Amino acid sequence: MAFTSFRFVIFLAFAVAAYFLTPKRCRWVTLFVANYVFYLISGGKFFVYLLATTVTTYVATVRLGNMAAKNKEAFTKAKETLDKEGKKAWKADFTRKKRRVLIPALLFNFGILAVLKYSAFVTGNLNLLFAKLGIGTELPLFRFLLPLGISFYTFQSMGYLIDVYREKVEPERNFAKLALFISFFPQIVQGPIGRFNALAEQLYRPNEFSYERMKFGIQLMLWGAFKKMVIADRVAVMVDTIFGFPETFGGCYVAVAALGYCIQIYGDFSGGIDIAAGAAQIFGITLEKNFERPYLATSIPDFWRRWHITLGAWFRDYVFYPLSLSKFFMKLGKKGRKFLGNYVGKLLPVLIPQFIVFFLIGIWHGAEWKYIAFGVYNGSLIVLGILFEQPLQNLAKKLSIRMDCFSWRLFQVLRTLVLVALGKIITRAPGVGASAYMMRSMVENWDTDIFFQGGLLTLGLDHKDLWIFFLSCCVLLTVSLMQEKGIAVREALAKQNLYFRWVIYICAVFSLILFGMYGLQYDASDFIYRGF
Amino acid sequence: MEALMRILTELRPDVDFEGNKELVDGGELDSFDIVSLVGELCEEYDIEIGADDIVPENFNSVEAIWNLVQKLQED
Amino acid sequence: MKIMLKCIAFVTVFSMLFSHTTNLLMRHDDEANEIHAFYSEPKDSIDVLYVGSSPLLRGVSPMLMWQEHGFTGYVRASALQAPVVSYGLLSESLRHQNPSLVVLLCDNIFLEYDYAEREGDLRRGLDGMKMSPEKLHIMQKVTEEDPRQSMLSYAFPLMRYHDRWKEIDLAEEEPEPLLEHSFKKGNVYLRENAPQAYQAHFMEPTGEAAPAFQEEARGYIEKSIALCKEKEIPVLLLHLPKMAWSYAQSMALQSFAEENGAMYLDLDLAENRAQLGLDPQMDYYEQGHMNLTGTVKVSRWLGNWLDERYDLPDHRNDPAYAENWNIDWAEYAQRTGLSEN
Repeated sequence: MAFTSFRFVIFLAFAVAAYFLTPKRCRWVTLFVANYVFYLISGGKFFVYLLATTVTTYVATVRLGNMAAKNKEAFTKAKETLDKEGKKAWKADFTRKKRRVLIPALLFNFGILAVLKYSAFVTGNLNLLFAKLGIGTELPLFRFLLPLGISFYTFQSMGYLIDVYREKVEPERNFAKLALFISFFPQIVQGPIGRFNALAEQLYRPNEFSYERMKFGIQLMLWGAFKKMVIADRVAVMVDTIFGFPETFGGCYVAVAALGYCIQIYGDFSGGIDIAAGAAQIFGITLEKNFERPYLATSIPDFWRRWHITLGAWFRDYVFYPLSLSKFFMKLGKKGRKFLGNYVGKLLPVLIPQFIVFFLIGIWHGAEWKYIAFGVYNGSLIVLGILFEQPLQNLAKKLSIRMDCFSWRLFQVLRTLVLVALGKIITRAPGVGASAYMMRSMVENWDTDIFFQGGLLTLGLDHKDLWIFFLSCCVLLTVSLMQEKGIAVREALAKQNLYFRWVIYICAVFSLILFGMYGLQYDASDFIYRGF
Repeated sequence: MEALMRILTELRPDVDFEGNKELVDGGELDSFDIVSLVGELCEEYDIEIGADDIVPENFNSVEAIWNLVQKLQED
Repeated sequence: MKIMLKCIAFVTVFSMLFSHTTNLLMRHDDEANEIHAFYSEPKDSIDVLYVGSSPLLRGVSPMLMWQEHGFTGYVRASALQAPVVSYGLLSESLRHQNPSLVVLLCDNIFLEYDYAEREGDLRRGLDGMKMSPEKLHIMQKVTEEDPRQSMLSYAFPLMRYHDRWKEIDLAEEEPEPLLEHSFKKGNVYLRENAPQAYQAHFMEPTGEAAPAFQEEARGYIEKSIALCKEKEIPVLLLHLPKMAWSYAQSMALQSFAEENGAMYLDLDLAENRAQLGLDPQMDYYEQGHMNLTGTVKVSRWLGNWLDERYDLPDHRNDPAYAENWNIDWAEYAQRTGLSEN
């Protein structure tokens, strides 16, 4: 059930009505039922995977919770008799016990994800390798259909599992409540990845109906739909044309396609998130922010703090910190300082885990070489950025470049955008070879036909479409700049006159109806008399 | 406490730590800073800081960091 | 309470704008217009109702029959009307009208209907149709047959035509308002003439078998007949002149009509053709349809034939009818040039 489909609107309306009509005590049950109805309608029989993740998470967390409670009791009793070393040993022993619960659950759930997502990639590449080595065996290629939202709900539930393991949160002992947390329907499809301590309480408590919240929620959903249907789906036509024929289009075409794809994927993804957040807001639930105007970032690390924030935060808390604070990397840092000097040595325990994180984020996106290349590209950019930060700053000082003015900020934003756009070419092109070819042609072949010979009009969008695209991007940019300045757009709008507000709402809805890309494209030739 | 201030100012000479209560939430300290800081703290105070101690609340102010250090020293 | 009022006001404003925009962007042609102008006919005022494919549009003039015999009629036909649409239109019509006779043109009982290829033809009947159980049934059928189509786009045609702003220049073109009253009563006549010739042995028994009926079409025609029977309205299955027709097809329909207790009239049968006096050189628009002169010949003959066989009232002296129908006749006669002879 796509977010921009009429069915979703109907489903949401029923779910909202049912939620607020249920007695307060049972509202969470309604939400739980709505989630599973949603999943069964759109994910079908795949819901057994969701169930498996929920059950294993439940069993493991409840067990961890029981262990922690017992341990606490025993520890308080034994505390007096233990010296410092003894306490340390006790703790280490308990951690080992907890790991025996944690690790199988992690392996099981990430195992499902890995098998479903990556087995075709792995067997395919092994077969290529075997062929190269002259080994005659060929592994059967397993291609699985992915259960809806598996990458998201797996991460969300495993984050919760680790939180329980770390004793940050108490485990939820009501199975249905846990299932509700793992399957909240607005966010299960494409995130944001929620944290138990921020989200669960909101789901379980009986939220009051609020007209204001509903209004704001609907507005946010409209805005998301606008980004997705008017902007992203429109520019997608052009982007698909160019990326579909990498050999045909060179020079500026590639640049336009890369920029276009940046806008497309942002509109699509952040639009979807806005619809999810708006839907959640109607229920009185605030989802975590997932995007914060990423293309206004001034550096690549800044970009990753603004793009798909919840995924980045997940990897930071559950991969980056554990890795970089592990004994191994701490020791490595000490050794590094001895051999590589203070500056680089100190960075080692940061840079290597950071690189690993980006590698993982790359393959999280999909099982293809290009996503690995994408991860390596981003990891390298960040590492290089850190390594060259000091020398570049010295250089800027020598050239006496001012860094506290608008032009410098603009330069940073544009520079970051170019680097990001190059990364997008990697993920959008059909393969690593094609993206390399396209990037080369962008530099070598200055084909400017797209601007001067009407080439822009040959890519599937006519001049009216291009105008709509341009104007809606202006709207998007204006809103983004307002938000960047700290203006809450919906709140500011709510303070305006009723008439003005209505004009805005009506324009918003009609721009979706008229300019949204949906349904069959109207082609007059389908309608001419074709036989009386 | 003095040693802590010294470590912090060495790490980020550009940040004013006194009275700042939003070092992490406000974006002054990023994850790289945190990891470097944790490395220094472990060495200075002979403690072990694990990934589970890395929550914004423990690093949002000098006092919070100091409390964390003391808590870990007691354990 | 205030919020409720605000919401209602907003929805009202929005709906008005929505329907206005729909009218601006919806593609409607004169066939669609004629089908839906039927709604404005007063209740129980139509004596003969014609439903089916395009030969009816071109060949039958209810106005002419009014002028000559005084019974009223309306043609709800469109090009390649799908059997499911014909059935729906008939059923919808019979809720508002109680005709003395229903005429069905069912040549397409031999035709396999390709829904995916016929969107334009389907929408001619459906877009302007009021929401009703009949319309819902057709929508379901169409979306089942052509999964690219959505129920929503038939319920709200704006969803289908939403990007027609690209095609029409709203600044220059004054959009045609929806037709509210028809003086043609569904007879979309054409004047052009393309000389035709009968093929050798046209409508002679050859011993060849007729092509099989299409089950779906047959089903809907049978349902149509059954519906009329239930309402005690006689049914006439009509075939209008066209070049691509055969004796075998005629006979097949004849016996189909008998089986279902309906009357069958085939204007291509030799004896009827002789009485009609059609001139293939002059009276055809193209091989499947009459032009205006053909329409006049067919309608005069058919009017007499119907008047003789069925108990049809003469409303010419009934003030409830005469005024409106005479105004319409005057316009029809003037537009067609029939007033001159």
